[in-house]
Amino acid sequence: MNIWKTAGRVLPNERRERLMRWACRLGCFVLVLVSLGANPATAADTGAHQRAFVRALELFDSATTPDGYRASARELETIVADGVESGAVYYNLGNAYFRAGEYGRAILNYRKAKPYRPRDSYLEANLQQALASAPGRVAEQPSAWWSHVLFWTDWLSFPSKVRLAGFLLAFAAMAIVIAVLIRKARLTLIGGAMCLMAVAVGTDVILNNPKSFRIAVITSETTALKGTGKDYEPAFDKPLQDGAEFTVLSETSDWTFGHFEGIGDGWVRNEFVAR
Amino acid sequence: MSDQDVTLSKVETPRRKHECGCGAADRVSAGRAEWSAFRHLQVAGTRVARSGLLMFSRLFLICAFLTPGASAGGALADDPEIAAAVSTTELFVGESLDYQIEIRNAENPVAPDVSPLKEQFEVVAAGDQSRNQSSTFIVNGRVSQQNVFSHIYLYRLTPKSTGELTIPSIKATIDGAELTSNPVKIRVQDAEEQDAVLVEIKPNLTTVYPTQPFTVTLRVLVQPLPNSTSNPLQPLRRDPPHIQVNWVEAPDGLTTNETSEWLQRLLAENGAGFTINELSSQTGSLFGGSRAAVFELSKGRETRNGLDGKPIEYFVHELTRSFTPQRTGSYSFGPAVVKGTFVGGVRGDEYLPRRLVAIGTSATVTVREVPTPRPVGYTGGIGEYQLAATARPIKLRVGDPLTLTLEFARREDSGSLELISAPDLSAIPEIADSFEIIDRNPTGRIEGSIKQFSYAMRPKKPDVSIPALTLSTFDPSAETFTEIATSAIQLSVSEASKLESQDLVGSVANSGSSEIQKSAAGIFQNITDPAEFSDEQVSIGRWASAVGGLWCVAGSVMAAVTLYRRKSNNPIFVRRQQARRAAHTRLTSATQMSSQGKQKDSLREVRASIVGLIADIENRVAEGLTAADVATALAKAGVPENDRVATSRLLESIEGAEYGAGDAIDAQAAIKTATALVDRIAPLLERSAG
Repeated sequence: MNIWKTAGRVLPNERRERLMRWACRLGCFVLVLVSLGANPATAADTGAHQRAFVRALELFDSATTPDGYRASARELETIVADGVESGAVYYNLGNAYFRAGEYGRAILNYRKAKPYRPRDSYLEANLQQALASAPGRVAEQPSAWWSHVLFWTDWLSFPSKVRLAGFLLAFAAMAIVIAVLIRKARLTLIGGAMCLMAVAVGTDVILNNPKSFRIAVITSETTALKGTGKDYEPAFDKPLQDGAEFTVLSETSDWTFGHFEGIGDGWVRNEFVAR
Repeated sequence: MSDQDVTLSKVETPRRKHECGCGAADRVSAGRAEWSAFRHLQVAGTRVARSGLLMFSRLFLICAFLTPGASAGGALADDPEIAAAVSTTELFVGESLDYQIEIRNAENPVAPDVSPLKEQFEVVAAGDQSRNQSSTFIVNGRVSQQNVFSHIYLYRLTPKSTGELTIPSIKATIDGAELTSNPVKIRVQDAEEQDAVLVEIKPNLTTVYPTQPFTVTLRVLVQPLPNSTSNPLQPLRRDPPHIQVNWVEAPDGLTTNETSEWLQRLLAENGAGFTINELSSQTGSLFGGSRAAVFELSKGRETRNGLDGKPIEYFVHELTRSFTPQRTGSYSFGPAVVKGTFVGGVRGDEYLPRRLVAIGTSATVTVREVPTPRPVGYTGGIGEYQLAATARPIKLRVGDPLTLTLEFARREDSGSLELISAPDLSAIPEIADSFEIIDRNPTGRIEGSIKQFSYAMRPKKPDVSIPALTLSTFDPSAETFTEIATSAIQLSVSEASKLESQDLVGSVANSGSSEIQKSAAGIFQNITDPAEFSDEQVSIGRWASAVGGLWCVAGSVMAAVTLYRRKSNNPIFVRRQQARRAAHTRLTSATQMSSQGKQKDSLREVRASIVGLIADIENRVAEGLTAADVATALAKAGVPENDRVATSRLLESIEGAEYGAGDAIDAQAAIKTATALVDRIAPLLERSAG
């Protein structure tokens, strides 16, 4: 007879199935709670942001001068200033700055849009165009070693990665609990595999978190110095131009210390830096 | 009393002044005062008129109520009338007056025909105003209504000639009838010839081109005080002379800075200077309101010959304003009028006043189009510009991007930088042959007086450089196109390792090929669908907290299940867990036996329930337990004494009945007592056993 033993007693098949259904319902309920807890409704006025987004498009379309495109960019910057993270906003900001002739800011915003629109070929094309047009372009940073391990980095957007890692961990927890309840070792293995995948995606999330970007760009011609003061010698033999990207190593209220790939390290005043 | 009556009564005071005046200027001054009063009422606008009208209407109604048998005659019954009035009857050439036509007793009048005025006057319409009134009367219970219709048309007239002029009658057609206004006589005086105050209007340029700024300067030269070198306006502080110019508001087609920005820095601190038009400033006093603003315009001294041929070192006062023309046309500045009481001489220690009016003849500035044909390299610039070119990087390989920046630096009196468009570099053969121009029409960037155009280019072949670029601008002074050129920029362009023509981004496909190549120039369009816009912000911390919480719950569940399973496999634990239930089962069985008449069996089950309960909880053998053992166990578990005694008595009674040593006991009463005892002692025993 097919019986399920627990606590020294035997349970019929029907009772086991009922317990499984209850566990599944509880799991779904817990997952919904996890999603709601992780994505609380924002208090920001999304209607106002959408209106600003459309207004920026109108300004862009009617612009004929760099100042006109800057007006469009300013409108979009108000959305960003409210703490909104949107690939569409960063993409349009990049376009507005490109048309205004501010290639450095265009590059920066295209790069900020990347984590949210990783498979957008137009974004990549515009970024390459801005890089080609920027007078101050320097060598790009080589890819980090772990980017070869985390090969899916450019497949998923940053929010998708966070959600995927969260749900993998949640499912792993459920799988292990069910495995303990019904004493199925195979489910434990599945839960363990899910945990490993979640750890890998979570590592990607931590390493590629847009909020921890250390990339900055030069917005107009300036000379990098070897220290924070005018008395220091220039760090490089030529001034830096609009569009020179660098990695921020440290910063003060007035100066930023950066690593320029293929050139070296130098201090630049913050008014010439966009982040 | 009508508003017109108010106007006339207000002008009486300046007329009395005129009667004791000192000449033509005073008469005109009186006229000016009259005009001022009139203008005050008119310029104060509909506010004054409306409030007056309201007051008038209320008074009229009050009178109607107080007057018994007030007649309710309708004004409509009166014939339509037309009346003309002027703000002043005496003025100087160049000045204007307000001309008012009032049409009464017509409900829907049409504007009068003022074309007869245009022969002698410049006519500018200054608006119209309805003064219709409707009044309702209730007299001795009888209701009647009276309507008064009046409509006023205002015009500003500037005489074209001097002397005695007559403003001709104006005709208006009302309800098919032609009405004719009264003619009005005025006197227009020419300024008297004098050398005490000279006025002139001088533009710095008489011919300009659109967006080329120019200035217009009003110069007022005032004769010095007799036997003194101090400012001749100093003694006039209580009644500063007045300047009337027609460029306080920028003429249509010209732009200029704000009036306040223009004149704020000229405000006189000591009250010595000129008043200008109707410009006023606040007094700061609670009751003072505003007063005419006085402006300090002093610009040094200048010597000129007077009427008698003798040199006079005049005090010069200048009022300069800059204009920027937006479109072609002819712009007239002036005539400008300077009037006031100046120092005319000295008697003893006192200065003798002299009222003077001086008129500066108007000056004209013509704004022309840039002539055609225009050279190919014309950029749109008007005036003098400096052109510079820079390229970065200058050391590169074929196909590498380079940025060529053209900078146009504007001189102060040159046209706007907005006019300058990006030169078409592809039209220059030396550039087109050697470079691929990615963005042929870049947008310019203006910073201060410099406009920049940045061209993205790629060299097509090695060893090429950027030649000197020659462009054209228009020189308005010579009225010719002049060339401006950059210096040649030497580049170091090396051969690319493997470069095919199709590798050049933005290169044109071979003419022989039918394949369409993708162009890398420009950017792809914006994301225009608002649905794609959303806040994609995710909080890693919240996700970690939620997942961490879930794992905590899962861990707790797993721990609880494991613990439960472990205890479930312990027979002592299982026995203890089932002890109370077993005791109740036995009592139920005892009840059934009792109902079947098996009293002894029933009592045996009662005893077994209590002894079994203690044995199960303490994991002992039930069969060997005596009443004394039970009492000891209960005492050890902390059971209250009365329950212990009750339990011992119950067990002893049952044992007595069993073995015949005691009285027979009622089984039902024993079951009831045992049930109560089990419920009370079981928790204490379980707690004691842990």
